Amino acid sequence: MTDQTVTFRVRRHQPGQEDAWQEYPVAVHPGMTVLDGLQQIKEQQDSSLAWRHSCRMGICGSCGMVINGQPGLACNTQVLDISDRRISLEPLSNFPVARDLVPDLEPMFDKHRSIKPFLIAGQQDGDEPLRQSPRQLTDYLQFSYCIKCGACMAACPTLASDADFLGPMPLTAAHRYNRDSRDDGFDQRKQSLGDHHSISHCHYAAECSKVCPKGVDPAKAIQYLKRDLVLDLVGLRRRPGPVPQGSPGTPRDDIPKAPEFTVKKP
Amino acid sequence: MAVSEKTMRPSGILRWLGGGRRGLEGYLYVIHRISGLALLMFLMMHVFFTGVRLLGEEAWSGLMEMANNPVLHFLEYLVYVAFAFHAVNGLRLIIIELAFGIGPPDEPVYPYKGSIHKQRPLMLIAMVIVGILIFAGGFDLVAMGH
Amino acid sequence: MAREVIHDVLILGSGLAGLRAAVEIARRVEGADIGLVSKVQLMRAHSVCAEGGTGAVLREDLGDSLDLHAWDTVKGSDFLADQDVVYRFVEQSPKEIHQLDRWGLPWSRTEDGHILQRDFGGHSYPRATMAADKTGFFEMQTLYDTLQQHGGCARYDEVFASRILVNDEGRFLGLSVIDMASGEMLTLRGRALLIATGGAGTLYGFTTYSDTVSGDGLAMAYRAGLALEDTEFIQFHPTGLIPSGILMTEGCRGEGGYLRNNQGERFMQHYAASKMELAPRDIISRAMMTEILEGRGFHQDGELDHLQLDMTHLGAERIHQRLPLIREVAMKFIGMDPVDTPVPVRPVAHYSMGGIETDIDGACTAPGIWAAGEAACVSLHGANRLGTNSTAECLVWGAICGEKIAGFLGEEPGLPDLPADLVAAEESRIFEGLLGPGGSASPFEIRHQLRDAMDQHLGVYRDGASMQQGLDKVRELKAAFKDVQVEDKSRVYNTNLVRALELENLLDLAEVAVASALAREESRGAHARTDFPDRDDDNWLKHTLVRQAGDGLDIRYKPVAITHWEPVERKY
Repeated sequence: MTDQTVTFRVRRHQPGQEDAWQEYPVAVHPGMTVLDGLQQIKEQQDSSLAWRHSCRMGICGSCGMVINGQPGLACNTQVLDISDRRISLEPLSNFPVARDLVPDLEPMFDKHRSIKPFLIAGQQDGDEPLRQSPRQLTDYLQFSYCIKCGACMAACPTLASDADFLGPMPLTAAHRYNRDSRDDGFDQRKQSLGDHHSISHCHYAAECSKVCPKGVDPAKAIQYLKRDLVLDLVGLRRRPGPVPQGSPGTPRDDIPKAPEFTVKKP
Repeated sequence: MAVSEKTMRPSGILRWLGGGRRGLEGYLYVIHRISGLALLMFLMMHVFFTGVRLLGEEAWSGLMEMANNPVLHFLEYLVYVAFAFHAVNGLRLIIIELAFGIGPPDEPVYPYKGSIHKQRPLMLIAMVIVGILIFAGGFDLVAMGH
Repeated sequence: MAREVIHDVLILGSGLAGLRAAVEIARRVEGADIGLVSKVQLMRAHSVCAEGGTGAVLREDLGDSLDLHAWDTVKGSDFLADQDVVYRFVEQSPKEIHQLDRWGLPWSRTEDGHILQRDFGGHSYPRATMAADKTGFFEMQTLYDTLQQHGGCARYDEVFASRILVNDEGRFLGLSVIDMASGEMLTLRGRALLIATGGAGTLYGFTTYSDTVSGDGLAMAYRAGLALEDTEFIQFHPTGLIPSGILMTEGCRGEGGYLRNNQGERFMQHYAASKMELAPRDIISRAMMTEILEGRGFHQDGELDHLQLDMTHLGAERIHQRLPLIREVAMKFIGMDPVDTPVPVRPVAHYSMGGIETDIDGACTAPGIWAAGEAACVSLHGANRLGTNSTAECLVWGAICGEKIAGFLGEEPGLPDLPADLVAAEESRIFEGLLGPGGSASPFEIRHQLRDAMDQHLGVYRDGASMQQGLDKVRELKAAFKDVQVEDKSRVYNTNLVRALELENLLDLAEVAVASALAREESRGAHARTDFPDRDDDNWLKHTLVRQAGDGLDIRYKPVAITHWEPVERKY
């Protein structure tokens, strides 16, 4: 494997100071991710560089940053896929920055909480099985893939000019629970979706769907949510299809029995 | 070794343009909002100038005389362009916002192709119509000479 | 002096066990004041990486039974699991599945709406309850979302706990923590503590663990005088993706995937003919290492030797529906689509069976402290954990500990006095010691050496001489750490400082693990010694307990609870 040098251009931020671009030459080999590159900088060049990271497999959502002008995950992006000369790294836009590549995501978490992102149902307790058909599952499954990395929020042009806009991630979460066949919370959730910093402010730039690393497609969720709200207004909104009736399964005959107990109970 | 230079993060509306690379729909969003603002400003000016009639026949024809020049005709044409775009793209948005043209919810398969891909033909048709309208309007401006 | 904040209960760790306990306490105690302390943001914990499924008996009508799940677990553990604990577990686990269903978890479904389950290694019935191959992620999401409807939970996101404060009687007093956003040191006081910080897998270089899993809770508990149990048993998952170690779920084989050597042969027929690729993990990992050591692996310059995980016969539709994350990861990280290409894998450090010693209710020996999840050793997994039992354990003991802590709070225990010198000592250790001037050893260098040593000396196969070398190396590195240098002196979001503190924890845990392994002169489950190749029930059917004793270790043993089945030969 041959290494080649790629320049990492990083937007540094220290509290109370002006931002500064800083450049680091990084020896890159095929298969190396942006996250690996940052790690190399930290270990060999500048231990003060700060960013979030954890799972390194694109599922924890920690390492969201703007890579060559596009929000994405550092762990998920291979350096040589995007450039063999230089790449630029910035903290997620539309968020305050704590330090270097560490954005303050609290505003997103707060907005997420405000749309009641949980199942609102009559019966929350109990251990009797519930039923849901694969079709009912598909109705919302895609929108539950969200890893809360903030890439969509950073890409959203409405959020850029209206910091109070709920944004793609919370709106998608609202739709995800609205469309769950086990949920009865539509009426409660629509209260928080009504004001003008909310869903009516999305004009389908679809940037969120373009940058989402997990295929969640927030733009799609938001348009469905709009349709549901309109249909609800004229009394035509339908609940997700009927709950399937389970059939008694056929017992399997290839399952062994547990061996007899060999310890005598006192 | 590390090199550094100072910089500022863009803020507010500047981030529409400075927020990074956008997709086609992203640029349409920006143009749609700017054309909307432009049309709103035109409308206010229009109401204001039409109000000049209240000042009498003479003031009005004076204003009309002044308005009859190529620069203003071109500006009028720009208003028309903004209108053509905003109207047709607005119709497209209304269609999408009722969730037509973006397909049913489905299990995403990597590499992910989202709703943008599904509704792109609609966007292209809308832009072709916008193009035709702009061209027709421009033809009108040049050929008819007013 | 550090600012002091008082809560009723502190939960350290925001993974599955921590969140499950938080929800349980919140719904049981009206107005409970919970401090949820985590060094990462909520929803970033390593639990999101759990993929394949959660073990639970849901279909007794189709032939599964609690006894069978218990037997599979006990046999899988190589008879080191406490069997009363196993029964508690299998009874509770199905309830957790249905509870999560009511909280909105998107379980995969059969056509008639039942929750879908698939085959997993060592289980006699397909009881890996699944949400595609993102089960852990969805469990975390569901618990996080459910927690949003309960007030009273103070979140300490990105707050690194550096010390568990206990008094002379061992009673829990509070936590010394560093708020990473401000660099400020806080003292969090609480009547009760739940440690749910996960395992210690980043001890190894080639591992499935997230970068942030560093066994902080284990190490702090150890330094606070609690015993660590069975830490020599470290699970190597058979299928870690080359070169990163990212987990390829056992569900790949549960869905029918094959393991092949460089002859194209399904080599498991020589090691576990009846179970083949669905034998327990320790057996498959040993088989794979044997294949590799005997030259039947694939070799590529600059990479670890590996074998192939072949899913090409499963068909695109099955993989898209049931293994979407696996496919996404393989394509993103190595550019291979498992639908038409076998992926390169080899055994990878994955799970710590051991942990903080607790009783069957998750209570530690120190009053006021509980532990749950991978951080705890309630003795469910014994010498080898079965796949799907870890997420289930987190849920079950998260709920049990939550219930017990709620009961404890109901007794209105007092808040013992906190001696001021305890906090002052910790402050000076961090701010004058680590952040002060001086020091020359690079924490990155020590960490690399530690990981290399662990990869080399405490792997799938072990022997006494090699482990002794490993122990010497770890002690050498521990000594080197005393002179560690934290270059970044800034207070705000100082990841350099945090990495150094994590390293300190890892070094302590490495010493405990290697010393425990060296002491256990037999082979059992995941602890396979070439110099003692057989299981020795006469001398070693017992749990290892390690306490800190001055600068050294105090190793003791305690018996295994054999309540249902006497140990027999373990064959698949």
